[in-house]
Amino acid sequence: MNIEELLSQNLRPVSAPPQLWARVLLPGEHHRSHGRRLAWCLTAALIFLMAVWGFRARGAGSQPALARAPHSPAVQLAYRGPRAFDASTTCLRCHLN
Amino acid sequence: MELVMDDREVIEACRRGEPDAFAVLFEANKDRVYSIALRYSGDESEAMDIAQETFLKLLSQIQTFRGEARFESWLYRMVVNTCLDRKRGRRRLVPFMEDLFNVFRDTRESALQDLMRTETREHIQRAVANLAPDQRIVVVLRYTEGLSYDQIAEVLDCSSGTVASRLNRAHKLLERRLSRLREVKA
Repeated sequence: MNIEELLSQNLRPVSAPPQLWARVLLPGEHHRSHGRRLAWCLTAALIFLMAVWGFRARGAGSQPALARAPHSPAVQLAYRGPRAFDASTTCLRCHLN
Repeated sequence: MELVMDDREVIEACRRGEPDAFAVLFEANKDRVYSIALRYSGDESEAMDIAQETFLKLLSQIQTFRGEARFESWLYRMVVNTCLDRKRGRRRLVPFMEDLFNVFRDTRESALQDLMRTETREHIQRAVANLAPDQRIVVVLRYTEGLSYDQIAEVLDCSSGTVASRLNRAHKLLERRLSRLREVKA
């Protein structure tokens, strides 16, 4: 059997499934297949988590004066109050001394 | 549902926005569109997406059909463009896994020399689905729709020589890819 006969026999036309009409009538309902919908959901969830993580990281770093001048006793005092002088602030003590 | 109206009447009615006329047009062409989509993509779900997209385009662009070309050629061009627009890399994970599984299954069953007809068909369809898009669409239009070289050339907007050349290359590639299968069958 040559290749042309083989292709003619195995690439015959088929009947369209009945669901096709419903998909054409209601394109929004069926436009995405389940796999693609799942992929979109996962992507959206990932973007949401990254956004939350990004905003939290930004919030943690939103003490610009403290970040800019961490060793300045005046800034430490302004932001931390009396806690600026506890045992953990060794570098601050150096400054004060 | 039968195509009771003349093609031209149906198209005119579609252009006027009559939903029944679109149903008639859909019914008359659904198998043709779905067959091309399925043979081109090699995947039922992808074929449904292509067929749906084609009919939605048809619905929105029927106003632009002026009747200068034959309606069939216009529709073929629409489904072909939809097929070619879909990226090759869009193959889903499931067919990929299926291919991977088949590689192992093929080696195990190659000694049996008793391939079932459905499996043979799957092999051929997979080989066609792996052709380059320009060769694949020519093969599908030729063997699924039975179009002549001139008709294919009209749909693809190229010369008959180009069609012949693409088909020839596709034949050679398919012969090479399917040679093992044919040896087993013989």
